[in-house]
Amino acid sequence: MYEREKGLVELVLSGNSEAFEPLVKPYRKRLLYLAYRLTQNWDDAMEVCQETMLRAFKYLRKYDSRKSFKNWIFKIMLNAARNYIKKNLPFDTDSLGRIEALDLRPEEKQATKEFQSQLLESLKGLSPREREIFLLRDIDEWSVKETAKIVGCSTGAVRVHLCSARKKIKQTIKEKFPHWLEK
Amino acid sequence: MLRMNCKRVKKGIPLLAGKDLPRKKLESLIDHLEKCPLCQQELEEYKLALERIKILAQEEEKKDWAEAEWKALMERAIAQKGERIFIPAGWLQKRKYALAFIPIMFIASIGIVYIFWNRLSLKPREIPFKPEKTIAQKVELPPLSPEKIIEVRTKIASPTAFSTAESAEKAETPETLTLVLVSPETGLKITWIFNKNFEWKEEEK
Repeated sequence: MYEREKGLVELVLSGNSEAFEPLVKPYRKRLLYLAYRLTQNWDDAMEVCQETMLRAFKYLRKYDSRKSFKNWIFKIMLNAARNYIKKNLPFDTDSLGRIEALDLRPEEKQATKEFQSQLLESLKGLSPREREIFLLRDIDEWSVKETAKIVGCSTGAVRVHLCSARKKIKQTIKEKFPHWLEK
Repeated sequence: MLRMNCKRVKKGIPLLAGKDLPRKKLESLIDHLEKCPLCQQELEEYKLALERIKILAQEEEKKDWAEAEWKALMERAIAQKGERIFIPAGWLQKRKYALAFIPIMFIASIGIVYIFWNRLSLKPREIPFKPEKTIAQKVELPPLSPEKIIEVRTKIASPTAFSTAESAEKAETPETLTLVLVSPETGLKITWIFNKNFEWKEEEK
């Protein structure tokens, strides 16, 4: 199952750096979208993904070829996103709160809010851990076990956070987008 | 009874909506859901909410990396130096072998310490030598030739060797020579008493 990736990793480690691009390219989009949903900003998401690629190449020797490369690189991205948010977004990562903090005129702030992703709006109110787990499980469709490995917690903890996240999201949708719940 | 079940079931509905409920709880929940329309509606709402979220996510996924930006990033990544770390041999990467290696190394290190400890403790013990007060300053063991006798000390012969009369007479005229030889290594003391008037006569056959 991991033969292709194993072969490419061996090529990169043996000195053939050209093999790094085909190794990471299949995951670049998904990494970008997940980073965007975590940081709630495309520019920040690009920064996080760049950091992810740099770290992936630098620490490729630490990758255990018996395990999934996809899990490994997503774990790097998650850690990079957490560090980035901690350093650059010390205040609450609520998207609307961030817009308020920007140095914009009031009409510009309003326009920005209106164009804010409905998805991000529905994720408002989740804790960072709940957001990570919800995005990995329900948006990216990782299994509970894979989610636990990437996030770095037990499957039981994943279920607890997932249950809590889904309750909050359903409540938010009921308040802000009630028409979504109509068949 | 039905109310209590609803309360319990509602706790599991968010996980059931995403098919994440463990099997143990699944059967009892399904039994209740077949009978309870309120819980069924709750479950449907959760499923609709999750479906809608997924559709939104798919609609948003149009943005991608600009090719020039991607190429620049790849060049930047490749230009880095990889992290040099020790990579153990293939057989060591298997956890079970690595775990078995730890006690073997521990036993081997104990064995090495034990061997070196024994070697260090095999040096001959130095017996502290306490010289007697009467020992002469220099004592050299004489060669076999009787002429070379080093006078160490002169004293009157022991009274047990002679009769009372003789010893009195001898005390007045020092005709004996006493040589005391002491080994510095073992402390063995050998006392030679020489009488000047002694003549060795072989037994006549």
